[in-house]
Order: sequence, then structure tokens, then C-alpha cells
Amino acid sequence: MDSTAQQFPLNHDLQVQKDQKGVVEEDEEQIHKRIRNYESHSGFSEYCTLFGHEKSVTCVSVSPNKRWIATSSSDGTIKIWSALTFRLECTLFGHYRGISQVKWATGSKYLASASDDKTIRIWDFEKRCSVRCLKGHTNYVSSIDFNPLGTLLVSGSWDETVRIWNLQDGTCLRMLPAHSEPIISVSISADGTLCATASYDGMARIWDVLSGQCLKTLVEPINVPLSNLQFTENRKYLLVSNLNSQIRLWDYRRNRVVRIFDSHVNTRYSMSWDCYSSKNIPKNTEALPNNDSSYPDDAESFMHDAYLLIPSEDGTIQITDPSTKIIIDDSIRHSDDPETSLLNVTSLGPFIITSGTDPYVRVWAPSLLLSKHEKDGFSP
Amino acid sequence: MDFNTSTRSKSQPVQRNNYKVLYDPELGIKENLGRKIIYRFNGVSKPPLVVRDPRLKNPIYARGIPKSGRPFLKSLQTINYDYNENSLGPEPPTQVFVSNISPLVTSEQLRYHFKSFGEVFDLDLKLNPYTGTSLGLCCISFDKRSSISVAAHSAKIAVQQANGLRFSGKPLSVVLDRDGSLCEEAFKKALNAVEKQFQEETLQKQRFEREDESSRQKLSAAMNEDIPPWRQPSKNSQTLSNGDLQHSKVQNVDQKSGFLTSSETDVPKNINDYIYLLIDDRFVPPDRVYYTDIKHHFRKFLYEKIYMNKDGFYITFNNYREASNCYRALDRTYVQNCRIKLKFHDIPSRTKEDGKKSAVRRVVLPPEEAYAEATSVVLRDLEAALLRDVKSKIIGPAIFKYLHSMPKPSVKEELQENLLVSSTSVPDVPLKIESTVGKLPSLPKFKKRVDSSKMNLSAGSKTKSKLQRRRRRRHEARPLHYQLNQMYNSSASEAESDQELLLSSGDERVERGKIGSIKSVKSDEATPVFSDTSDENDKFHRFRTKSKISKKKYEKMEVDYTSSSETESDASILSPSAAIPKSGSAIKDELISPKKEIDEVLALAPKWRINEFDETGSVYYGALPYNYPEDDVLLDLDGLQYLVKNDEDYSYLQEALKDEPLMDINDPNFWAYERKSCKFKNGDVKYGDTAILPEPKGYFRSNTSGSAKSEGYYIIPTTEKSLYLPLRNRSTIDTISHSTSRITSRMNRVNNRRLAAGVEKSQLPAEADLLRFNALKARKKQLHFGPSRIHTLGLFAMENIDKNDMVIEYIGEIIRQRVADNREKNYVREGIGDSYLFRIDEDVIVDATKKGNIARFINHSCAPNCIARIIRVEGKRKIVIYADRDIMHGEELTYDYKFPEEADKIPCLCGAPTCRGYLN
Repeated sequence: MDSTAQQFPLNHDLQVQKDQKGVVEEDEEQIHKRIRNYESHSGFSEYCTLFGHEKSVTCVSVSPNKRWIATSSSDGTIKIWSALTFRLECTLFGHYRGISQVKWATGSKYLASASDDKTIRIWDFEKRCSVRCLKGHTNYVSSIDFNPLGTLLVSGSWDETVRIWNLQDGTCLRMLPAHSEPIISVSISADGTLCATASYDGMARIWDVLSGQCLKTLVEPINVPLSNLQFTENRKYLLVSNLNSQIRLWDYRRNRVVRIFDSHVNTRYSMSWDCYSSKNIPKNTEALPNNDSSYPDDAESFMHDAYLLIPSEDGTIQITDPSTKIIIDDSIRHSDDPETSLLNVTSLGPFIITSGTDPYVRVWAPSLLLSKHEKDGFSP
Repeated sequence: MDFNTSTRSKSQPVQRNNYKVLYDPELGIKENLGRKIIYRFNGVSKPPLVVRDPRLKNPIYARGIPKSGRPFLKSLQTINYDYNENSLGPEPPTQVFVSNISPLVTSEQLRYHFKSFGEVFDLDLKLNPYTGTSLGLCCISFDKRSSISVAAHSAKIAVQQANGLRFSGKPLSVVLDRDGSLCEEAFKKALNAVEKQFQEETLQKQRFEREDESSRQKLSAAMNEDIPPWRQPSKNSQTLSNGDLQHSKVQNVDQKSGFLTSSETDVPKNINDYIYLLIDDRFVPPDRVYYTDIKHHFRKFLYEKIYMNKDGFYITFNNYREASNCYRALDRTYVQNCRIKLKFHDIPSRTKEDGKKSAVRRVVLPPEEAYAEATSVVLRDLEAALLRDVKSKIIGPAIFKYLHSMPKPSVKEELQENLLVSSTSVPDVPLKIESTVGKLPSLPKFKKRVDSSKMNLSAGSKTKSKLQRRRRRRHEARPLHYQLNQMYNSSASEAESDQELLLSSGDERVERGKIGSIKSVKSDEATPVFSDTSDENDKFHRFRTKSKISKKKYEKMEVDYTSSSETESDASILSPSAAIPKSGSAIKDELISPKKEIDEVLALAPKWRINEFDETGSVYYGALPYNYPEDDVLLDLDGLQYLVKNDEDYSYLQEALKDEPLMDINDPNFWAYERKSCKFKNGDVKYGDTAILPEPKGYFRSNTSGSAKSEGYYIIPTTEKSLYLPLRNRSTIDTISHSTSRITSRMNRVNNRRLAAGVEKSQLPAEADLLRFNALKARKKQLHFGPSRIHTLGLFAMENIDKNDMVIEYIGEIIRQRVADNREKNYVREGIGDSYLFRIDEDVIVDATKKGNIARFINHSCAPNCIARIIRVEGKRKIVIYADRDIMHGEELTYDYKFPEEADKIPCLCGAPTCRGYLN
């Protein structure tokens, strides 16, 4: 809670890691040193940094089986890292422009990447090669999502259309002229029937994937460009963020906003958030005010036992309790440079992986965990 | 007492209960009824008693509804009480017994059917215990748990409705069955019948078997050979003795193929030495398929002969290909409605050991023998191929070269000797060759052509093109384990390779040793398609760059088979024989060389195989390692760029590749970029200046930060949007080009007429318009509105409209300026974004927002096809829209809104080339 910027990340540490050719390996000694440094602090400390990209890392995606981490970068490459050792596994080449998003399909075998070269590529991770190139968009592809079966892919593009692709043969099943401004994010619900799109025109729309019909349009009273959107796990709500530093929790069936998170800063980038299991942070009950009075509503269960990791453009992560909106922790500071902004935050078990407009991917772990492991003789 | 009895016997009838006297003659005689007393017993009388409703006597009563409004009952209601525990008597039947069910009907079908009468509780379809088939008997009980009466009712209905119903072809008989006894009985009866039948059947079977055996014995005794009698083409007297049936068949055969003789159709003993197709006897019933049918069936194929015996028909072939073709074409086809299955038999390598019996019978080999056979075949093929290759590639050229350069006679002899040896003793060839070659270093230039890896050439590749063969050789040069070893211990394998594979001596040998290892490493690296960050990779990297020059040299040598490699020059490399295989990339490699060359080269850029590099395919350049198709070609982009240094080289190259077909590569610069970046990503070269991503054609705006996501939010101007949005704003441009391109003859005539009559019109446009307005008031143009590419809705012409024709009048409310101002504000507040106000003059405005015609849908365009004019008709000013040019069917109508200049601009989306960008 009380962390400050100067403790993270230490420059000499970075130097050491760079010397080791991008592979992050820390000596026992160094780890101990680091742990000793952070031992006294609560909150999160940097566990390691993944080097390798040359430009900003736009997306970090953890495979469904939690074994691999895929990172996509503006330099046009995808790098796959092992989620166990945080070593670089391989690099996938193929796009000749930057990549905006990378997503794993169910089964952890296939990846899809959306690129500025107006194509989407499907990669076979086992063969380490691209198996499909989906062409058709006339401008950058900004966002993609698989359906749960992995048979369909929905892509949103700056050409203001949403395309639904059949992955079996790589054909475009449907083209939806969805919005009047670039589409910045698409998301498929957990059952694969609904698809939500967010656009810079300030509207979020919900589509029926099968028929291509627009089922609902979520409009906010003030038309602010949206930056991201995602279905919640339980399919009841839609999290929509806009460039007015707000994340709204929409109950899209009843067409009303259940909750607004606005403690972060988000005015320029499309940043993606993630959930973080609350088990990893012991709940500090004294710090919480009574949460019954403020929100006596039904959105209690939308994220069960989870905190929301909300990235902020100043480089911090706000770990927020979604039911009370209380910031549990904001000790993670991705970069010292005020210019660099966060783009993505992903959780991987107890770890939090952040990436931003700098070419580094940083992995954070709760300090408590590190110190505990030190006592247990833990070595990565 | 006495009196009493006497009176009773005489006058009084016997007093019995339930009697009523209807007529007593003592009370007064009626002539027609006689003198007998008429009784009624139990309500039944002799002349049938007609009970009439006394109420019917009342005429008003019979007429119908009384004042109370409730109709009188026509008959008295009977009261039914539900059966319950208090009811007397047995409970009503709730079971039905269904018989005469077709055996094909399943219980599910029955249940489904009887569900329509009521809830079926239990459905017991009786089955034959021996066969499991339905006996056609079924007991259905309806669900009486909730209410017995309902169940009884449904049972009753079922009997009423389902009895006699044709169900699957047989009329059902449905009977109420109170306790299932009927069903039981019927079932028992059926069981008995079935059992009896079963016993009979078994008896019969036994009898048949006995008969069969005896007949078979007879048959075998009678037969002189293996051939079945009906297949026996010769008119042997023995076949006749085999009974009438067979006799007739034989007759049949003989009638159809009378010319056949036994020697022709007899299966030869050495049938296994033929390539033949076997039609198994099982698939050709002898009484339906005859020799001639088979012959007819196979008439289109060049078979050698058709034999037959009791195993079936044997169709022999001269060559393998024809046989396999035939097999593919005719397997599982129909002969005389019989589906035949062919069995393919190739000549086995083994000599017959099993004697006569196996010669005829052995069609299917046991697996071990099959394997052995297959391996032996493969081995033999390999040997042959190897021999051929050795002859043609190594020894042949060597001899020629040798003869050319006047070698020492002793060497020549040695060579020939070796040749002889190698040709005679097949399996020892590789060793021999190696030894020969080992002795050969003294031969001038010979060593350059020796590539030991050729020896591993597989037999299959002989049919392939030279190119493919070369590629194959590279991949298969060494076994995989060897490559793997090399990967981890490259220096050791280097030495090894020197010893084992390379047969030349001196510096070049060492060089080539390195090359060999590199090559194999590369091909090994080909499998994982990613840049490995392991340490080995680094090693390779260094290693590769070190030996790069030598590699190039090696490649050159390999290309140049015929010329002496020592003195090879650029020109010789580009000689046609050498250039053809590599031409594909060779030409395109030029792309990065001097600019003026690029275009020329492109003109003759040869067509390369579009395989892995096809973007629509499954594999892409980025994913590919070093061995992209041009790998065959030895010289890649950089190599050619290096080679072609001046115009002379270039012209040679052009000449060499004259014959090559052109390849379709979309953007040469992009193509070159792809190749280069691919090479770079595989770590072969540094990312040179030559590999610059060319600007793509068409719209592309590149983000400074690399990707759209990291770029953040920015607004795309609407004018820029029209460049990449396919659906937007292109209508006007397209249609204009269309309309100019297809001017019909009719349009020409119209133009001519217009020219003839157009003078005065041009002089007095206003009056002419007026005339036209009046004249054309009656005839309206066919228009319709629909989604427009310019802005929301638009108006489209549904017919061709000539120039200067009136299109439509702009109709709306005529209001004053102040009202208009007010309304405009209101509209903005209401959210009506579009303006439908048309100014006629200072103070008069036509408002078509709420009241108006479809003319308000006409959009603005900076290059309009219509023009709006204000004309006076009968003292009123009207806005009329005229065609400014000829308008084709389907074109959107536009005119220039001519908005006054304002501070806040409204963007124009007309998409015309001369678009001003704003409406105002």
C-alpha cells in the first residue's frame, strides 16, 4: 500500500539482466538481495523482466493451460515465454507491421494476432508457424477474439467493420459495418453467442454472432470514445472503459450501469485490465470501511473472489475490489519514465504481468510470497 | 282359505311382484283387447309400451327455451361416478391387448401412437425369445395412478379408435384386456408356434447339411480339377453328370463363349508370376456372371488374358501401370449388378518355393513375408536407381571429361573396370564406387562433380525433376541422427564428414566439409520455425557467417556441371544450362539492383512455383526457415545482386532467362522485402539497407509507434476515411465513370435531337424550363430513395434521365425567415441533424423537414448531376430540380447545396474528385 516509485525497478538489476542475453536468470544471491530489499514492504515487487522486444509490447496473453505467455509487440513479432521459468521459448515472425493484440484459442495450441498490416494470422504454436492469414480488412486490425470452441474468430478493425471468420478454411463469414469510427475492442461472451464491440464513436454494441444482428447498443450520455470492453466471467455484465478515465460495469440486459471505476487515468490508450484472485492478497479487513451501505446491489457476484487489475496511464496498477471500489494496492509502477504508459496487465496465478509502451514486460509478485519462498528455500 | 284359493285360481291372476295390470276386462271390456287381463312385468309388456314424456303434450314446452333461459333437457343425464375404493365391482379395464402388429413396428412407435389416447404406463411388446423379433403382440396398460377412470376411458378410446387401424401395413386388433390374461394366452400360443417352428428349422437345417455334405462329396468326387463345373469351359462329359442345374449353367457358358477352349481360360500354374487382378469368387455369383461379362467389363483396358478357376477370375496384365489403372478404375464397380472387388497382385520377387499349391492359392501373403517382399522390392529399386545415378552422374561425365582432356590410359582402364564391376555386382556398388572415387583424385576436375551425398539418392526421385532431386539430396544428405549429433558437436562432425563423405583432397575438401555440415544443419533447423535463442544457435550463427564465402563458392561449383569450375566466371554461371534451374529467384534477385533494371527484369520475371509463399496458403515466409523454394536455386537475391555487376551481366542474365515463364508477384519491392526479411530472420544475413519495407500501394498510414494500440487515440479525418472505407463515398466516382462508358445508341439519338432543337432553349433557359415543367408535370421520373453512400439516405434514378429534363420538384412548407430560424433551433434540439431547409429568396424558405416529398433526400455533391432552379409558375415560385447531365439508371441524384460560407464546417463526403471538402 505504501510503496513509492523509487524502489522499483532498480537500474543495476536491469543491467544485469540485459547482459544475460534477454533470458532472465537471477542468481540465488541476487534474488535474496532483492527480497531483502523488499521484505519490509508490503505490496508487490518485481519478480523479473522479460526482454526481447524492440518496440512497445501491446498485448500479453497467458495461454489457457497457464503454461505459456504470448507477448505481441509493435515490432511485428510475437514472443512466447514459458510461464514456469519466464524464459523465451520462441519468436513468431510473419507480420510486417506492428501487432495490436494476440489471443490464445482454447486448447493452447493456436494463437491469433491482429496486426497493422491489415491481416490476422493464426499461428500453430506447436509447429511454431503461421497456418492462416486472414485478409480482408482495409485498415489496421485492432482487436480479435476467439469463440470458446475455437471455430470462429471475431475481429474489429479501424475500417469500422467487424468481421467474423471461419477458422476451418479462413474465410470471412460475415462482415458487419458495426460502427462509424474505428473499432477498438471486441469480446465474445463465454458461451460464444454474443459478441460485443467498442468503438471510438462512443458506443458499445452487442451482436448475435450467428446471425450478425445487432442486439443492443450501449450508449453513454456523454459520447466519449471507448477504449476497451470485455464480458465478465459470469456473462451478466460488460466492462467498458472509455477515454474519460472511466470503466463502467454495464448490466447489458437491463441496460444500466451498475458501477463506475474512475480512479485511474485513461485518456489515450486502449488498455486492458484483468482479474486477480483475491486469495493472493490477504484481505486487510481494518482498511476496508463497511461495504454494505455504499453498494447494496446485485453486482456482488460479478467477480467472485477477485480483484480488478486496472492499469493507469501513469504506469501504476490499481488493484481494486470491484464490489467496494476500494483500491487494495497500487504499488506496481511499471516504469520510471512518466511518458511510458501501461498497455496491458495480465494476471498469472500470483504474478502480475505488465507491459507498456516501453519494450519491457515486467512480472510482479506479491512481496509476501517472495519472502515466504525465501524462508522455504524457494528458487525459481 | 278354501274360498281364497278358489277365487285366486279362477278370477284372480297369480300375485307376483312387479306386475302391473294394464287392462282388466272386469273393469270394462274393450273389444279390441279381448277378455284377457294384460299385465306388465318389470316394465315390459307384450304390446311394447311406449313411454311418452308427458311434458311433450304441452306444445309450448316442446318448442324450446323457456323464459328462464335454460334449455330443457332433451334427455335425462346419467350420472357417472369415478371408480374409487368405495365403488363396487371390479375396477374398469385399463389395459388393452394389441395384436396383429407388424413385426417391423417397434415399441417406441407403439408407445408414440398410443400416447395419443392417454398416458401409457407400461408397454410390453412381446418378443420372440429366439430371434428377438417382435411377435406382433403387445399389452399396453394406461396410467391409472392418478385416476382409474381416466385410464379406463383412454383404454376404451384406444379400443374404439385403434382397432382395425392399419399400422405399418397391418390392421391392428385392439381389445380391452382387464388383467392381461388375453395377452398372456396369445403370447403362450405364439411361443408354442415359434418353438415348433424353431425345432422344425433346426431339423431341416440338419437335413440340409447332411444333404449338402453328400452332394459336396459327390461333387468333389466328380470333379477332375479345381475348376468348378459351371466355369469349366470345355464340354467335358464329367460336368454333365453333376446334375441338371450345373449342366444348364455350363450350357449357358458355352452358348455365350462357345469359342473358348480349356487351354485358354485355365489358370496357368505360374499365375503368381503375372501381374494380375483377381476377382474373388465371392463377388461373382457363378450363375450370373460369365466369362464374357468379365471380358466386356475389362474391354477398355489392355489386359493380357483372362483366366478363371474356382477362386475367381484372373485378369493378367503386361505392365504394372495398366494394371494399377485398371484396378483404380474398376475396383468396386458393378458387373451384372454384382459389385466386384478386385485384388491387385504384383509380381513377387521371390521365386516360388511352396510348390504348386501356393502358386495357385497364395494371393494374400502373411505379414512377415509381405514385409520381406516389400523391403526386397524397395532395396532392388534403390540399387537400380543408385546404379543408374552412379553411371550417369559420376562415371559418365568422368569418362567424357577424361576423354576430352586426354587422360592417361591407365586411369581410363581403371574406370572402365570399375564400371563393369559396379554394373555386375549390384549390392556392392556403393562401396565400389567410393573406392573408385577414392582413387580418382588424380583426374582433372573430376572431384568437383563428385558429390558423395548423391549416393543416398532414393529411387523414388528418379521420376522427379532435376530441381526436386537436388533439393531432396540436400535434405536427405545425412540421416537425422547425424544432423543432430552435428548440431551439438559441429567440429567433430566436420572432421567426420571429411573422412566419410568427401573424397577430394586439399583445401577445397575442408571447405566443402564445412559446407556439408552447414547444409545439414540448415535443413535440420528447418523443422522448428522459430529463432532459437539457445546457445547452439549462436554458435551456428558465427559459424555460418564465417563460412559464407566458401558456401557461395560451393554453390557456384554445383551449378556449373559442365564447365571447369576453376575458371568459372559470371558469364558461365549465366549460361542457359546453368541458369535455368535457378532462374526463379535469379531474376527477382535483381530487383534491388539498379533501378532502371528493375522494371525490365520484371517484364520477364519468370514464373516460379507458387507454393509455400503464396500468402493465401498455409505457410508463410515469416514462418519459414532458410529453405524456402529458392533454396534449390543456389543463388538468392543477394547472390545475384553480387554477381550482376554491370549491364553486360544483366543482358546475359536476361538472355538466359528469356524462355522462363513470367511469375505473378504483385509488388516486386514487397516481394524482395519479404525474401530479405525472411533471410534476415533466419539469421543468415544482416538486415541490410536493401531490405526496406516498400510503401504499399493503396491506402496505408503507418503508425509512428508501430502499432495501432500503442499509438493511442487519434481522430481520423473523414476525408481520409473515404480512402480506405470500401463502402463509403465512392458512389459518385464509380457511377460517373460508368455513365461515360456506356452511352447507348438511344442516348446518341437523344443528344442529336437536343442539338437540333437546343438553340432557343439555351437562349431562353427560364422559359424553356417553365415549358418543360408544365409539359412534364404529368410525367414523373421514376425515382426511389435508399441508403446512400454519401450520407444516410439518398435519391436514386430508376430510369435514364436525359440532360435538362426535370427530375422532381422540391416540395415543402413555405415559411418566413424568422420561422425558419426558430424551427432550425427546434430541430437541433430534437436531434434532427440534417437540414431540409431550402431558401428561395431573402425571406422565403421551403422547409421539407416534416412536410415534403422525396426530393429532400437528394444529397449534396461537389460534382453534381442535377441542378436546382427556382422558377415561376403561375405567379408562384417553385424549386425544381433538373438533370444537369445524362443520368443513368441507378445513379444517385445530387445537386450542389450552395451553402454560404460558415465558421463551423460541415464535411463533404461526396467523394468526387473535385470535392471541396466542406459543404459550406
